[in-house]
Amino acid sequence: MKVLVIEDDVEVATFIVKGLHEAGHVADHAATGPDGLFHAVSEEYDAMIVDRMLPGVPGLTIVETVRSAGKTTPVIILSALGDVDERIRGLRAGGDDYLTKPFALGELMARLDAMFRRASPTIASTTLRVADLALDRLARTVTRGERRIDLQPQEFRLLEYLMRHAGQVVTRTMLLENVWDYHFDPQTSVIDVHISKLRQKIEKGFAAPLIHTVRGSGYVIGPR
Amino acid sequence: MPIPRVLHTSTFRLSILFAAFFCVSAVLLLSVVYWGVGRVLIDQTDEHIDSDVAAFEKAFAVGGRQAVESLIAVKIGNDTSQTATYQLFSSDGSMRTGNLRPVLRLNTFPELGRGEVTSEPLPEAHNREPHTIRTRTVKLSDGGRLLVGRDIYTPLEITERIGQIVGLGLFASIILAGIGGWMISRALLRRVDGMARVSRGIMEGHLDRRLPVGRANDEFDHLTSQLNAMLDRIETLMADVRQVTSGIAHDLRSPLTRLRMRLEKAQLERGENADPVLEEVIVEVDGIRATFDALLRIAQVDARDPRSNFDVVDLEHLVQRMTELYRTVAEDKGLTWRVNIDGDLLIYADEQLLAQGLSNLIDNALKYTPAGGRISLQVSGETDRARLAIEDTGPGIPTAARQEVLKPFFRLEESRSTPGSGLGLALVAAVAKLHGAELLLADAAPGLRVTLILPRGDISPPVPPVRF
Repeated sequence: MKVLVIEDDVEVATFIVKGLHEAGHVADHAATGPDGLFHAVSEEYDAMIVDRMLPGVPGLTIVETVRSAGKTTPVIILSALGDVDERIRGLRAGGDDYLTKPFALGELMARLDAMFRRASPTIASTTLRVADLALDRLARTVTRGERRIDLQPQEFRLLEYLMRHAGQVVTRTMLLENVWDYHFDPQTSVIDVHISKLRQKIEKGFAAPLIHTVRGSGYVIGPR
Repeated sequence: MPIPRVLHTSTFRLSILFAAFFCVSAVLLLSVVYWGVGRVLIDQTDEHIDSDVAAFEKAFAVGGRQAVESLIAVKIGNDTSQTATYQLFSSDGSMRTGNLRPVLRLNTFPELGRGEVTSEPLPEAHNREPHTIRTRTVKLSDGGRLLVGRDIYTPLEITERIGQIVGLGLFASIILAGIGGWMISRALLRRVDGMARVSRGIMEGHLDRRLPVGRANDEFDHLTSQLNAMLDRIETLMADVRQVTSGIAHDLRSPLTRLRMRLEKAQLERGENADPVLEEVIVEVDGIRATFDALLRIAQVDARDPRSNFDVVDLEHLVQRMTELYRTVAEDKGLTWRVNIDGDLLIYADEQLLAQGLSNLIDNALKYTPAGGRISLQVSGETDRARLAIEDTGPGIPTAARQEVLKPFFRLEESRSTPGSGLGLALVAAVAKLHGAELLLADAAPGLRVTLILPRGDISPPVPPVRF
């Protein structure tokens, strides 16, 4: 994927670009507002990572301009300003996601992947499958192999989200935001407990584990 | 019907006091006049009587009883105003010459000296009331007595009339004082109410409002000018705080970001065999970031415009969300989770902040309640407020520390070693303040019970003060 990174802090930019390369993406870097705006408008990208505080043109203005030019390129906004009002402002300007600094690279990558998947919709099937695990979104049932697995409503939602991003790393923050509609981190590792319970239900008694922990980032569901 | 507020104002009380003082002094003054005038009139009458008596005594000395009788006749003839009374009594008490017509028959001699007699009015008199005659009776050397009198109907009338006027005046001044006091108090009350209303608006977050300053340049205007200056200062301070927190956000987060990124880079470069110290350091950096975030959030909550993110919140729904997230965690720790919901509870609030505050409280409960215990959430409400309570069976917070724990970074001695920044309760306190809610910490015997009493609030503008 081709990604545009608009970030004036050289260290941070280098870091992100390196991470993108290692994930197999192609990255362009712009260090100023005007430069970034130029790239954004004149070239086609699969995604953009835009810092808010830029010299010259503010990041949000760039996003607004891109949107008003009719481009639906997914945008992640980076910012040191993290409160709800600022987040809303960022999303209103046309951003698809909002990350507060400092962030973990894994977080950025996971969200980027999620955005790619959203941007290129495959026909959303009513049944999600990972290995021998099948989740029927309409009937709200889960089966593995021949066995029917009973899940509580939130366990179901959690599994559904993981499976919709099968093969991608899903961070704890992403889960909090999308499965529980939370926009801050509770102190205890709440997510871990929920994942552990879910694991028990779908893995106990079966040969292969499906939910894997990615150290420092989050979880991923997949055959492995 | 409740007593109108005007009657409670200090201005009204003051004007009543003033009116009372005024009335008392007026009464005293007028009483003196009343008495003085009465006295003067009586004294004057007595003088006339005395001069008559002197004339009669001279006549008696010269010509005996006969002279007195002729003088009586002359004087009665000369008395055009018909106010004089002369009466001669012989030594046996019978009435001789004279024009005394007492209402009550005199059985004996009138007493010597000054006195009063009630007499019939003259036939030609306008009113038919009996008149009071002021008299003086002297002894004559032949044994008889002479009574000289003057009709004091008119002086009495005068004094009575003055008395009436005093009474009327008193009554009128009380009424006027009452009305005047009422009107003044009302005007002042209106002014004070105006100030109170603007203050309330300001407290609700409309920091740009100012108190209206009149043109009278009186003490009220001075006061409001000063208050407005104070509000200007507060607005500036709050703007400064916002600027500082944004500045901190940017200036401190940048080095933190770089720090974390370098650590992550080092980790990535070393791959799976990275030094575990790197991991620990990253965890510490994240810890710093969490504390930093929490602190900033508290500052933002304190500084923000209260109503900016308010909307209708269903407390039952909120509690359900919490349950969805935390019940599993609680049960995993061997704690029972209980929820009590009493009624359908909608309030006007900031849902994210409430959720975060509640989350902090639940986090604490999970952290400190030992296995086998219980965490319960309770929601209930009355017409104007709702209660949100969380109770645990942990060690609780000693009464002495209950105020302190709400301060940022405060940690009880016993829990200093457990992870946490000591900001959880500080945020809850900030959120409570933002909502105008009461935050109560109590002993759940055993354990801690934290209650948030939230005003329901509504979407319409603030209720205007009582008017009448």
